[in-house]
Amino acid sequence: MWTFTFRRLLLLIPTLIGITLITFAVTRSIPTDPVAATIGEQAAEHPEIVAVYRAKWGLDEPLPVQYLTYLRNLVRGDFGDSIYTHRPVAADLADYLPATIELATVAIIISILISLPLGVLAARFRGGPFDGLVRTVTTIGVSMPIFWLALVAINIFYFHLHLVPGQGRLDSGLAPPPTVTGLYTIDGLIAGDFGLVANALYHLALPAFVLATWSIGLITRVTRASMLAVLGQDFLRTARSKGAREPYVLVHHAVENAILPVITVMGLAFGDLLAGSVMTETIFGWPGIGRYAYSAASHADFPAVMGVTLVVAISYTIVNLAVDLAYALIDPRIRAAMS
Amino acid sequence: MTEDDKTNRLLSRGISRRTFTASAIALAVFPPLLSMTRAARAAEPLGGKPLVVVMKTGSLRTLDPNNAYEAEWFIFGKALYSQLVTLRGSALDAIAADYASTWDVSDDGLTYVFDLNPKVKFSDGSTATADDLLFSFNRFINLKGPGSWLLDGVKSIEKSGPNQVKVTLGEINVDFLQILTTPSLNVAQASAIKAHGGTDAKDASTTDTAGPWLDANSVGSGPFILDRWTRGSELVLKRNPNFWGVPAPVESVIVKFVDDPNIQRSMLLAGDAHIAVNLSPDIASGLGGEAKVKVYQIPALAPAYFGWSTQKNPALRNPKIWDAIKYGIDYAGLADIYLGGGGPTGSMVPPSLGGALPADQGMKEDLDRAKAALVAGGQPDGFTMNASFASDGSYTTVPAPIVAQKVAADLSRIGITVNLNPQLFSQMLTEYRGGQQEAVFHWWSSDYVGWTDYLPIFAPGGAAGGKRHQWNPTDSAEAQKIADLVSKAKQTLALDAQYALTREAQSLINEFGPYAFLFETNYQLGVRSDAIASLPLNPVWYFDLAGIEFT
Repeated sequence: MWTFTFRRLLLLIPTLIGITLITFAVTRSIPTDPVAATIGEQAAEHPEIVAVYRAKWGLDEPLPVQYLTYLRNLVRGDFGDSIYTHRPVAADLADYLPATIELATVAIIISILISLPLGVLAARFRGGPFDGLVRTVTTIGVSMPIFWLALVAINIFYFHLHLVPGQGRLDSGLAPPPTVTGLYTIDGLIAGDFGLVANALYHLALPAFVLATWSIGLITRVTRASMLAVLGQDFLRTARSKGAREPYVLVHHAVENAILPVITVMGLAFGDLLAGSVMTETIFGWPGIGRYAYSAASHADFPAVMGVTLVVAISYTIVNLAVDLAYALIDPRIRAAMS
Repeated sequence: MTEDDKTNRLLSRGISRRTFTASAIALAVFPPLLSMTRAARAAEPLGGKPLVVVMKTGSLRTLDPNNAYEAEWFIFGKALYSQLVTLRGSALDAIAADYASTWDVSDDGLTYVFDLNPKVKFSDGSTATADDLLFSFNRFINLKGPGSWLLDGVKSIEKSGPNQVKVTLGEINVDFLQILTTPSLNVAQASAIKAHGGTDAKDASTTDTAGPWLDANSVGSGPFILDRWTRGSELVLKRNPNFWGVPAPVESVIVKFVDDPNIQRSMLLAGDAHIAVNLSPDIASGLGGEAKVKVYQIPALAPAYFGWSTQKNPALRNPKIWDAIKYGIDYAGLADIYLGGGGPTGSMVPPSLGGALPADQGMKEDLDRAKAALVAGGQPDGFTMNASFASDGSYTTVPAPIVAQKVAADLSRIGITVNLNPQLFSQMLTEYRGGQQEAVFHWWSSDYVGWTDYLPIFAPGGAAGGKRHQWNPTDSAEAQKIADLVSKAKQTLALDAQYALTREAQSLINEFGPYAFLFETNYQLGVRSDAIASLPLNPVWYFDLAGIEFT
């Protein structure tokens, strides 16, 4: 398994180089001047100011030189400086990425906790009222626009019922914990500040639920379908005929055999949650990578766009690797094949 | 983190640590119950609690007092730092003392001597000096940041006495004092900045490294000091205990960055914010019936306009056709779109600025004249033109797409077909600044409170007029006359004579230029009237945090 893992990580290198090349080509093909998109009207008419910007970001160099410079810096862990924020992209990512990871992680945990039982039970009681209800609710979950749901949720749960906070990662004026991971819940625990951890969880609740609706729908439907494929198979009948009780059959025989496609979807869903939370972050005032990416893209901030793309690509790759390793842990046949 | 830090945080919430911790952990799992123990909402009388302001993140990228230049910075620049001179309240033509207590301008308008206020102290209690001012201005110039052009034309800045500074201009700048009020031209403590890698040397743009430190620390002489900036989340200001003037009325201010105006509204109504800065026109108008909320409007000094190239469309090469566009637009009807987010404008200089054409002398709809212009221009059946707008943009708070659609619909009444080309703002701006657009919907936002930030730009041969619209003095006798009037106004120190020239130039641009000036834009702020009695508004920095009066 170690060889497999190492090989997969090695494959990450050409993948990332390919991604940098494609992202670089795409961003540079857009007819937008990042300097013009960044500086003010009058400043844009001052060649000496424009020249400083172009020199600082190497925009006065030929494109191949710009790309090679980017790659060379990347090897040293330097993502370049954001044209918009004027800070190292790595520093920006370090500020914004943990907020998204924390939100996406809580969202995927909520998704799994809700959708697995729902999917299993819907399959077990196929065709019944419960199954019908689950199918209806999950269809709504996967088809409802997140931004709309977010606005409705805020309106109901924050504005009218005052059950949850409306904005941000912490209450107004509450200082973040000393940064270790950037995840307030974890950093709060490290600092021994349980009040802050509770406050961070309180702020996570609504955006995480909203963000999770889509993945709850998806995972539930896949779990149900996968379970249906397994439930009719002979080995379950055999288990029951040997006297195994139904819950045991369901959990230890059916779910274990149906879980592989579900894990695949969980991995994809987590990747999507990491990369696709722009609207949720905007509406909930969540300072995450989604908002950062949107700002970078709308200002033609090439280094930031490339940095976000790389991070998202790495996240996807790592999540997929984790999914593959999970296969091996669950299925001895796959583990044997990997060895 | 020290125990003190934690305790302070908890006390700031108004409950004990034990109570907060226990209840928060338990109730995080059950949000409905948690709401019952929430700390007192912000709508209650402040009573020592922080003032909470919600505003868009916008383009705030740095808090470096010599480099920050974004609109969202100005409210912080004003709160954290002193400027050489300033504006009082919303009066844009009354220059007031700040770091300089008095000043004198030479008869030729080229030399400004400022006597500095010896009472001015930085937040660490040390006295601000002329050397701090020289360092700050030189660093501002040499960082070559986005606002550094503001001091173009400054020939020298030097100490002319122990507490006196002399600024010599290379040429007359009738708006020089107005420029100095901009909260980008701040006086910061030189020694502190130098100690953290700052420099005012010529090569500062490549050698200065103080920016990151200044993002976390303020070194000014304003009524507040910076406590914390969590990017994308909030910025916290504390009262400056060593402020040399009247102390700030609140101990702390929390500015929360909330991009969605719907959420700003919700927070305001829920009492979780005292001031919401970026209300959209529909939301602001919907707050009219709320008893505890008052909506304030301030001119944003950013007129929206429709402009076209004089060269790119064959029909528009004939200036007679331009009247068809100008008279074909229903300017009064635009008010139904911008609501309180705008108002009529006389021309490109916002009506609230000195030297502006009054709003009632702006362009007016006249369909008969529009149709006559089409005939005179050789296009009796109308013509087709392409116009770009920023699909993701707005004119202060008025969405650009609906303005473009409204104008296109207006012009279709007289046979002019406007093919609208939605573009990302960055792409539209790139093409517009490169002079590639056939026609464009855009706005011009303020850099400082003077007419020279507008009129010369739109005049023939100006940054917008010449490069972007290909309209030059040599094009016609009228264009030449306008260019001459603007040049003369820029050299005229007597205000009455100067303003007469600028108004004449604007009238002529309205009549002969390739633009239709649609409306002036407004900021609309929602304020909790049960907490705030008055808000000292200002078009540049929204409002003065130190001048708020509470109920």
